Amino acid sequence: MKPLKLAHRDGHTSVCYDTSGSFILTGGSDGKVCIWEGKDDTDTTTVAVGEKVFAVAFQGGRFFAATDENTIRIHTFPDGVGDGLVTRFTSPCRCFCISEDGSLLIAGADDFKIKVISMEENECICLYSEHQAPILSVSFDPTKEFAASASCDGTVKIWGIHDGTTEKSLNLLTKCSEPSQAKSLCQMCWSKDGDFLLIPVQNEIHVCLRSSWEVIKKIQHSDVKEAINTMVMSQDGTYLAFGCVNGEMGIYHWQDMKLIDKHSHPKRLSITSMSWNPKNQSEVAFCDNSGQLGFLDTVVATSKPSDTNQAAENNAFNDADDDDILASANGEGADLDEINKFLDDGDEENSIDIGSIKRSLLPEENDNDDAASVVSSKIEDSRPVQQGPAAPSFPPVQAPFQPGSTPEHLSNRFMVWNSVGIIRQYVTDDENSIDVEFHDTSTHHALHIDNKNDFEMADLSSQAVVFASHGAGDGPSKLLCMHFGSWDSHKEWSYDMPEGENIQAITVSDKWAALATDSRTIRIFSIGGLQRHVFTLPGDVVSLASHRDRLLVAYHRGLSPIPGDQCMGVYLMRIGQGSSFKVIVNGEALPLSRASKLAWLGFSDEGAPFYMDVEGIVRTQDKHCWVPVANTRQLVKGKSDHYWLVSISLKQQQIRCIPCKGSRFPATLPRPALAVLPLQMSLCDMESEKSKYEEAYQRNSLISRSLAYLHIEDCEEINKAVREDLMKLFAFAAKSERDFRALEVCEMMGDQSLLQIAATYAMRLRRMQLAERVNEYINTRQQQQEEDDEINLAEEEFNAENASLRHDESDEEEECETMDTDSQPEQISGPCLVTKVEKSAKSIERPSGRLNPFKVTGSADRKSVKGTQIFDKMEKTTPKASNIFVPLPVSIKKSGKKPSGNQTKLGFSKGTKTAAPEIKNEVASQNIDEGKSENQPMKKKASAFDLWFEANKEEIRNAHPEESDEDLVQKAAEDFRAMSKEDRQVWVQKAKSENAAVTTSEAAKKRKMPTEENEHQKAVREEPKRIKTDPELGKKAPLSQSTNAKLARFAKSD
Amino acid sequence: MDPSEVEFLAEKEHVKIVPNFTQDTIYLISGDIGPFVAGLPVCVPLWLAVNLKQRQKCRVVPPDWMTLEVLQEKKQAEMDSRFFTEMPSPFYIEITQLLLQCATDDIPRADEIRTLIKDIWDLRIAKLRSSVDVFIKSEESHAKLNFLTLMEINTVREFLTKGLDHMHQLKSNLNGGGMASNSQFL
Repeated sequence: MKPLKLAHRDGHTSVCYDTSGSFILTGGSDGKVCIWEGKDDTDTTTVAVGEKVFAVAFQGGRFFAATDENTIRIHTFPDGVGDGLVTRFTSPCRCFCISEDGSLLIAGADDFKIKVISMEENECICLYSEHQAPILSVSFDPTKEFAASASCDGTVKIWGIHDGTTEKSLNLLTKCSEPSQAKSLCQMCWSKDGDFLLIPVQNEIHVCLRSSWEVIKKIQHSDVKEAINTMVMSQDGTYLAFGCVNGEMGIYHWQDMKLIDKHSHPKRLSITSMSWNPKNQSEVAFCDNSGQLGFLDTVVATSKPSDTNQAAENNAFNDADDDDILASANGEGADLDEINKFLDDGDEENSIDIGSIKRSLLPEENDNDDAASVVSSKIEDSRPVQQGPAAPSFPPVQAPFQPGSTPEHLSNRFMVWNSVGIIRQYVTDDENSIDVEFHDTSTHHALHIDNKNDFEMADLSSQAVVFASHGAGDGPSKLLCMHFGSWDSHKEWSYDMPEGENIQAITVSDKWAALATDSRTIRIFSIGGLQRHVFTLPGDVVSLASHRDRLLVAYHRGLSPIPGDQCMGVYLMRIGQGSSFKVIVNGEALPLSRASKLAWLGFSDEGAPFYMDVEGIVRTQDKHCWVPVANTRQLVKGKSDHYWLVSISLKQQQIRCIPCKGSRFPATLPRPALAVLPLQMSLCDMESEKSKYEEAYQRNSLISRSLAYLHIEDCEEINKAVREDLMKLFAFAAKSERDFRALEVCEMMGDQSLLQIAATYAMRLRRMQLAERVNEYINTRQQQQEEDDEINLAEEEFNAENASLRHDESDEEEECETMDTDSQPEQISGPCLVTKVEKSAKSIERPSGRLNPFKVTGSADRKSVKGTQIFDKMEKTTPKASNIFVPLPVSIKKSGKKPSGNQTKLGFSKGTKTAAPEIKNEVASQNIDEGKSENQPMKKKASAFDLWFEANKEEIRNAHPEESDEDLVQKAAEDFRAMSKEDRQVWVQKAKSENAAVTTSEAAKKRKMPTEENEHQKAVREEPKRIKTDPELGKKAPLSQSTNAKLARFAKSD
Repeated sequence: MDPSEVEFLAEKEHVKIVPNFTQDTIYLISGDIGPFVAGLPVCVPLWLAVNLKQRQKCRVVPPDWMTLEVLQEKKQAEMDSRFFTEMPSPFYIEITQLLLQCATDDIPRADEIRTLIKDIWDLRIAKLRSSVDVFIKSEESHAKLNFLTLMEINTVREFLTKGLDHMHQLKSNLNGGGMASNSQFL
């Protein structure tokens, strides 16, 4: 079978051929008739005829369509221009058929009536109303004498089309209340000569003899298991194509009772209509209940008369007698009674045969009963689904609504239910009142209002209640605000809308009330009744919502090109004190589910915008996109149950709503109980552990972003949850040995401390490669941050200079004389470049120099630090450049200090040379105790070896003239070590005394010349930079090892 | 055991209420209660629910089983079964009693529910009596009854245990002759 073609929307679809067999017409529940040019056509012509099409037929260059407007319409073919109506019913006509010559049309409708219409005069010649339920199918006797009709009342009736007298009523079908629940459409057909009527009953086809209307045989086959929905006779009357509710299709040689061909719908959907190609017996078109068109390529060749004849001869009851009688009866149009008399005789002859056939079939029939009941239950299940989504193709734009209200036509309804309270409206013949109830009785006591102004809309905040009327009829549209939060005695104010403006939606917050009218105007009033803003929306309003100073407006942007979709836009604005007014979201599209409408619009308790569509998807705003955070429809118990949203809390991650059994909204009585649903992001594969972690992370981070955006304090809990989720994700990825994924998790961590925990964790799991990578990432990240900091700082400085320059320029005239003795060192005038240098120098000096003049030299002490200071030293010697050999714990320490470094940006500005002043503090103080000179870093190095080396340099050089300087030192060191202990001791003593002398003189010198400090400092800064590289090369490896070991122990003990 | 004591135990059961006030969590020895947010359902012990209701501070949300459909089904099941069926709550009679006393307005069709609960109670008590009857007549030494609630046990305990004691004594008098009876009546 070829792939099916999508012709229409889900729902009942019908198909027919034109007379030439080259065009195929399909009619579906989208209200269109498609004209296909042959079975390979892809570019169809469509003709819109109504909201739904139940049946189509072709006759005499025109086609007919039964639509949901209760009519059968005529259209010309192929251009599809309307050509009038055939007839009209009081309810939808679901089936009709046209006699072969096109003179009569017979149509059955849901109002239990069947009409026979003469096409020439276009008038109803007979109205048959014996059925007690909607008509399922009608079928014409080819001789135009009788008609057969099946109805939901369970009967098949055969009646005369001219006088409407019932010939026979057969109780063959199961009763049902409406066609959509019928097990089978029960489309019957007649044999070509009209002698036999074929009725599908469950999975059998009952054959009725015209004369007696008795069921004389039952065609069935073991391969046909489900109820037959539709049947159609081939042109030559030999073959019978049928389609079942489970998608089985086949062709019977009906007189032989042989199943010739069998097919199955690829999706096992119910077959709703079939049609033979009138010119090509091997082609059968069919449609299923999801609007698809397909073709059966049958093995049936063009009719073989010999076969048929043979079959006829083989047939027990198709004997010559009957044929003769019927032929004569039909031909002469003899009196029915006479025929019946005749047939009574004939029946007696045949009675044995029929009886035997019946008997042979009976047991099977019994067997089938059970199967049939199973089938029927299945069908009943599936039927509503087929009918459900068959909504009109272009739904009208959604009418404006109040979030949290139930429909206005109800006599008892909720006008609003939100987080503040409930407003109920009671409309009866003698009463029209409104009840306002507050959840928290401390807000205000309950109110009972006599609704004289016919208010239909209401909203409630903790400060006021507003009511509004649409203003239908005589009076203008009215707004009433009861400001119970007011401290003066005037609690009420009201406005009448200007003529021609009717209120469509209202909302009230603590500070103001807003309303939208049908002239697309939004009016904002202060809570005390001042008119504050008026502006125009680009489209009709759908709904309004407010929270504190935020207003959310949903409006129609226009028609969506996708059929069934609403096209909405959204405004989010902040309306603050006074006249402040700021648009946050400017008319962006509001995404809805396919063919869905808005069901609720509002804010969470914290102020984040939320909405829900009728599909039950709750979405919230994240930056500039809308994220689905819950699907309430997934959580309902029954298929037709819904949740009616009331309020949302971000912090508690709750959606508060009312479960409604079998409806979309709750009734006022009994008082509905609130249910609480969780937020849940819709991630894939939610059963897996990983997805659960991911979902938790996504959700929590979304909430934390939202809360941060709303400037909500105390969101530590959620931030903590985010960190935990990240760690869980990392741990999960690391444990399942997905290192790359784990590193990706690291990239999501914003926080250095988290990264370090991750690194430690990886170490503990003995996933060294991962740990290494994490460290690498930590380093690159740090570097980036520093660069960013520098850029920021440079900008800051530049700005500051500009500012100071400007300042100077203005002050220059006054201050030019005092310039030399400038008491404010910051305000140095002059060329930009000079200022910059001076400034940066100063900025470095400031944190250290003023507080402690000794501290500056800390960086120079590096090499003399011993023992316990090993870690502090490591801090300083850690190279800035990323280095994979750097042991992890080092970076932990370093970054641990980082924040403080960031805080004193100025001091930090010249990079790591002067970084970490606090470390310097500690080190410096110790250094001073040890009496080391800060200003002479080279001298400080003067060890015993140095002294000895100085003294013996020449000798050594002479001894090894070929060596370079460095090698020379090495040789010297070897020699020095080779010296005897006593000799060395002498040099050691010498070195000690020399160092002590230097320190004292240095200290003295320093106090004398504090002014020189700048130069010194510069020198100091330059110096270590050069030195730094040298000692590190030698020292790093052993140090790294020891620290490594130390920190590995730390990690393990963690 | 006094019925009021059984009721006291039942008051520890949790029910849902919708408070009309807002208050932080209350920390009690038996556990934390709350926080209360006006309009949002919260689970509290029955005694607190009753107390708040009496002070008009809350609305009681009837338990899931306290609806006509469930109770009718339960009653039917109880009628159809020869044995005791499991009750939706081990303190069903006490909870119904307390809630129907103070929160009639919050429970839809309270009268019918009262009748149904009473019917179930009567059914079960009748069953209990008949099984006691069978137990004694068959002169068994022990018997087992499933799904009896505390209140039901309590109604028969005093009389049954004492009755059995007496019977035992009488029996031992018959069997053991004078000795036992003497000691008894001395």
